[in-house]
Amino acid sequence: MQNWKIFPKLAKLDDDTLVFLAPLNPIAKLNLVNIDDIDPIVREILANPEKFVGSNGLKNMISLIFCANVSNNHSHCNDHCEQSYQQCVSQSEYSSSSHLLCVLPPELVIYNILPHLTYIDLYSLSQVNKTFKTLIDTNDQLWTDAIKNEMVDGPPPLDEKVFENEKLRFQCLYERRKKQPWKCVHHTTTYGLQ
Amino acid sequence: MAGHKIKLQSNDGDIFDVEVEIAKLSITIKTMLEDLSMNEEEIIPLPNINSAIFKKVIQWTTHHKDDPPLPPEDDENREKNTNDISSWDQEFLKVDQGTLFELILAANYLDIKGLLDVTCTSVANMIKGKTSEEIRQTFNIKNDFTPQEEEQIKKENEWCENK
Repeated sequence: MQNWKIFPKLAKLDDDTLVFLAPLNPIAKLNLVNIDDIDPIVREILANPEKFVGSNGLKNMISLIFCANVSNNHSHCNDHCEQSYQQCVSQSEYSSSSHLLCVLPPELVIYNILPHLTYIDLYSLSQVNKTFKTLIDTNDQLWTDAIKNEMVDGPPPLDEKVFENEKLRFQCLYERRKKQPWKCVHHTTTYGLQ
Repeated sequence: MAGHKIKLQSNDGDIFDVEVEIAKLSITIKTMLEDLSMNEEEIIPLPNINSAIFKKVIQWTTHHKDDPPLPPEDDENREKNTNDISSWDQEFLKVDQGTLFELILAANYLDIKGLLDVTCTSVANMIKGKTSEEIRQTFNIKNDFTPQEEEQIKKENEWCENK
């Protein structure tokens, strides 16, 4: 059992951040006396959860408080604790991997999310960061689909050209289409009449 | 077998009694029950899912238990019906991003195609129509391009401007 009586005063950084570096066992059981002792910490975390995100030992600390609350049936701020525990843990986990979209396995992003997007969105997303640029620019299937789905009359033949990848092919077709905005689209104009 | 229940345990130890018919919407659980012929009294552990997320999953599967099976996906019917989220699902998906992403991971792990589709569609909708900077803000993504690279990409993508 941890002895909170000798828990050193929390170190404070210049920016008012409290530092938790105690070697805590996250499943340690505490008694009520202990909880009184860590109340200031709980209060601080509840008041400013974002201040602690990513700081060393935060997860241990919060889960410890959380466990302490549960194991002692110490009902005050249980709900709050649980919430901020979830919030902080997810934030600290995610912030270390920089962003939410990147915690998804790439195959989910490629097969389940990207196919929903139009070329305009693909183009915006590919400029977001390096990961997405690679994911999108090198994904020929996406651009093949874009050519198929977003050029109403089907792509004009481009037999004479060979492209490094499908994105460049899409780009070339797109530019050609822009120069020729009016085009007879047979199967679209007769749609529904046959 | 209607009303027959099995026990599923989330990774934080809670045990859920779930109707077999509902649980079987998860192909992962269906496979466990049928192929591995697990004893029905046995508690099935779900090591990748916490209680809060699993409650959401059960809520979704309970609502959708009578849905007709999804048509098999092939090249022909793969369409961009992105805005096609029923109003119940829209209400269901009014959650914070962390929960949404955990739901995607859970749906993927449990192999519940309908839930995976609708959650991923919802993420796609969050991306649609936004500029790169807006996407970064929405998902808290850091721009890791150098100014030179950014300039280069802008040039590369000029063809797509003034849409």
